[in-house]
Amino acid sequence: MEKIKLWYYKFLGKLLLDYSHKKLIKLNNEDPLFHNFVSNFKGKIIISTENNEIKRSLIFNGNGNIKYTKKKVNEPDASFIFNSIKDLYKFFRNYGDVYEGMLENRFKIRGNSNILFKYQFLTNYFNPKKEKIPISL
Amino acid sequence: MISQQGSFLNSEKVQTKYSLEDFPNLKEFREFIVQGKIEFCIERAALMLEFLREKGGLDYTDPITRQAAVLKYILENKKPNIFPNDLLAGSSTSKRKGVLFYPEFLGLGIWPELLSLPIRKKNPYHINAEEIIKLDQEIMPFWIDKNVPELVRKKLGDGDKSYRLHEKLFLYMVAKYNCQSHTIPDYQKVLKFGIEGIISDIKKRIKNVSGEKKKFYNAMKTALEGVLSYAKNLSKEATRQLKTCKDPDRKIELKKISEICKRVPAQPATTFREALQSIWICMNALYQEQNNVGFSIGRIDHLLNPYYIHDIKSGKLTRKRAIELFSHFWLKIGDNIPMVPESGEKLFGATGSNQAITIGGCDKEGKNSVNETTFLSLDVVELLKVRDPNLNARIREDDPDDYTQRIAEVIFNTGSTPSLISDKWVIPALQKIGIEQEDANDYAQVGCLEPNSPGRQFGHTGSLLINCTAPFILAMHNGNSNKSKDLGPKTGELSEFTSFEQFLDAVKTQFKFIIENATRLNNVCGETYKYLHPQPLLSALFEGPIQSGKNLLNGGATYNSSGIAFIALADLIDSLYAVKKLVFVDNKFTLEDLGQMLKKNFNDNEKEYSYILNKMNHFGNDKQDVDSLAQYLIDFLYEICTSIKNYRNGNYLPGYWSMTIHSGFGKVTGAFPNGKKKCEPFTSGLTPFSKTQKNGPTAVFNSLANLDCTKMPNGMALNMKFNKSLFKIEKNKGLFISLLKGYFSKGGMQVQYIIQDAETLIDAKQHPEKYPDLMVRISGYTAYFNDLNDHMKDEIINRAIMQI
Repeated sequence: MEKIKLWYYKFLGKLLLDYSHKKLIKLNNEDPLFHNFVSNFKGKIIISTENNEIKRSLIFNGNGNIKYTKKKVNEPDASFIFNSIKDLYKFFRNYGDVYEGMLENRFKIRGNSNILFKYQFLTNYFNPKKEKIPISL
Repeated sequence: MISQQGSFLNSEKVQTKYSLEDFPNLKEFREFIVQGKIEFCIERAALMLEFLREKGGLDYTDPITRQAAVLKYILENKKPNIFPNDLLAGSSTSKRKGVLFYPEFLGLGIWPELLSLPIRKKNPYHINAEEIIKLDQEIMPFWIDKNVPELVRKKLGDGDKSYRLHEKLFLYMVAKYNCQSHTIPDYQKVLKFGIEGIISDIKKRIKNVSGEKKKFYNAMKTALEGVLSYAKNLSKEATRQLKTCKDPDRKIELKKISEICKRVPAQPATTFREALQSIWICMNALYQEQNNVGFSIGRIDHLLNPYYIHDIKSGKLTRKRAIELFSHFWLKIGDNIPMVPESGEKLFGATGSNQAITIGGCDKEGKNSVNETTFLSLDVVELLKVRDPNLNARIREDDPDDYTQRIAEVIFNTGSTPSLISDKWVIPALQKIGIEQEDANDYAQVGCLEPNSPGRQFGHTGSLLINCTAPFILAMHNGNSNKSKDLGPKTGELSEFTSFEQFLDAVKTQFKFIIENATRLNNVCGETYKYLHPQPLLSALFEGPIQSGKNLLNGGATYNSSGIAFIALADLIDSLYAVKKLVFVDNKFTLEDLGQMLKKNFNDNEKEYSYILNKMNHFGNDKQDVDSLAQYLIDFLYEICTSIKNYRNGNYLPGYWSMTIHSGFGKVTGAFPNGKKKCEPFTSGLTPFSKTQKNGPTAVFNSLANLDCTKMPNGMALNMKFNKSLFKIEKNKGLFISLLKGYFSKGGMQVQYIIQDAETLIDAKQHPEKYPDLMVRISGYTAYFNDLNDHMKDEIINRAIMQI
């Protein structure tokens, strides 16, 4: 039973993680306002579990491009290291908040937490739970 | 120059009661401060960025010169606001009621929610699209690699133990990431000498020094010149408004404002209104220098009374006008709100800027100094019933009866304020840590309720918040927590403890480890401030730095200390007592059994749970065995804290208050042996556990009075709740005062009340729209009930109701 649960969390965790970051890239290509938010942001982020069962890297290169890869980038600016696959799944399922995740002890942060705040600003852009004010360029 | 000694005007003791209907402008202003929209202000951050970009970044010169120049630039260019009907010029932010934003501290924590700030459910902040884009594209990126948290991380490295433990949040929180403003500037000096007087003193000293000292004196001078520029701009703005104003009454006010801002704070204050304006301009200036979290005002009745007496005697002022001006000042203090991210609302929900004002007490020689302005302050707080500032009243055995009675009346009428503190125990507590008698006599509260000698003790009283239940958790899991491994030292598996003393030693080892790491991180933060954020203005408005030529951050103040707030000590006391009594004395179950019970949240252990709640002794019931354990822990924490030096060569001082953090910590913690269940709040301040307060207020008072309060130099909070209806009976009012006097006489240090009927609080939770300004005491500060998160509202509702 436990194994099935783990498989479930791993499957859905990866799915959520990849879905949300593909959405990020899609928005960057299609939404000028979002692209504007991304345009001058530079930072390399790793999202992984402690045992590296799941690992992904996200690279904002500072000229408006985003790269998402299954490899771990070298010298990341910031990392989310989740305690378990379940924690990762729960965090992304709920469009997690960095502070809440820390308080709930779901992950460790390594590197510059300010990079992760900006990252969350971008993911909140498509978080249906967060109402947003209309804004235009 | 006005004499600093005021006298009592007997005729004025006969007070006329006023209502807000007597002051229509004040009524409108109050409504705005309580219910008006809160706007996010980026002015300071934008000006700072403009200046630093122009200069080429932070390292264009030495830190103290840079900070002085930045501050001067901000003050020269800050919008000189005088809003319609204002009696005092100036505002903390560019808005009438604004959120102060400091990107160099924890400001970047608001980044994730920039787009939802104006529509978030709890405490929304209004901000426009242009400001959001400016923040996201310019201001925040500038600070992304150089704010306090990031500089501390770079200094220590990711793997550093103190840094990593802080990340867990449930062990300790280092408030210095966000501020070090929990202190009281020397406003007396400003009123007495004026800013120009202080500059002239600095100029004389500059001639005789060189090197770093010269830089420091020049920096203080530059910062003070910035304050003068701001005052000049306010005067000009009043003149500008005067030219277009059609209302003859308003014209008179604007003319007066223009004249006053020309004079103060440059010159010594000569009238009551000038004194208020002078302090207010300095407060505004200090907020531009550093984050306003508990920047406290000190003994307002002592500061203002000479001017009040002088003006009344000379016929320049009536009592009614004094109330109007003073109330305006009082409301102005609430014109700024600390920035709290949505998730932060869980821990610090509903907090204002926590600026304490203190009244009553004695003069430096120890003579009772309750005066006219003490009563005026009480009139104002009763009239306005607002959250900020946070009023504290000193209580003495030689207080006049009408003072004590008036305080009780104001508590009944406001339901929550003032907080009361006993001179009998606070003064010796301060002397014990090395404060001279006459400076201790002059103490005032900082932030929530922490006593400091104003303008001379740089005490950053809210440096650290340490969770007292964390060492218990670590001891129960051999240095681990439920979620994380290898947090604390290995102190043994539960099966290895054969006596209570062994288990207590394990808890103490974990406690010492936590305190050492927390204080170490705080010291590194302090060192970081020396580069990023030295404070030339605050240094100039303090006793010590000008005399010694030493910056406040380098220990320039006359007295130096750092305050720690220990959260949930009562939970630890009761939990340790449960282990002692139930495991090692009565052998009811083993420690492992207890561990299992806690893991299961007492499910399947109703019998044991009921025994713990109903049969076991608990702190707060006047039981000597539990109270002596409490004293043992307080002694232990006092010894450890006072043996550790801070980065200014002062000591750490322990205190017991919790704001709303006991609720936040409780929410993320499981069951505890005192009967706290999973997710329930911990106890507030040093208040006994509400489920087990069985013997009424006298027993609670006795337990607290049994403790040696001189070992709580950073203050303590005891929360008590009474039904409002109780005081419809006149006799009960007298009993209330007798109980209080008895408590303070026996050894009690502090108490604060919620006087509200249970039905009202429950109704307020269900129908918030009916109670826009219902005030409650949290654990230190006062808050609007509506602003609290549901968890905290429940904590208030479930507090034990005392009977007389």
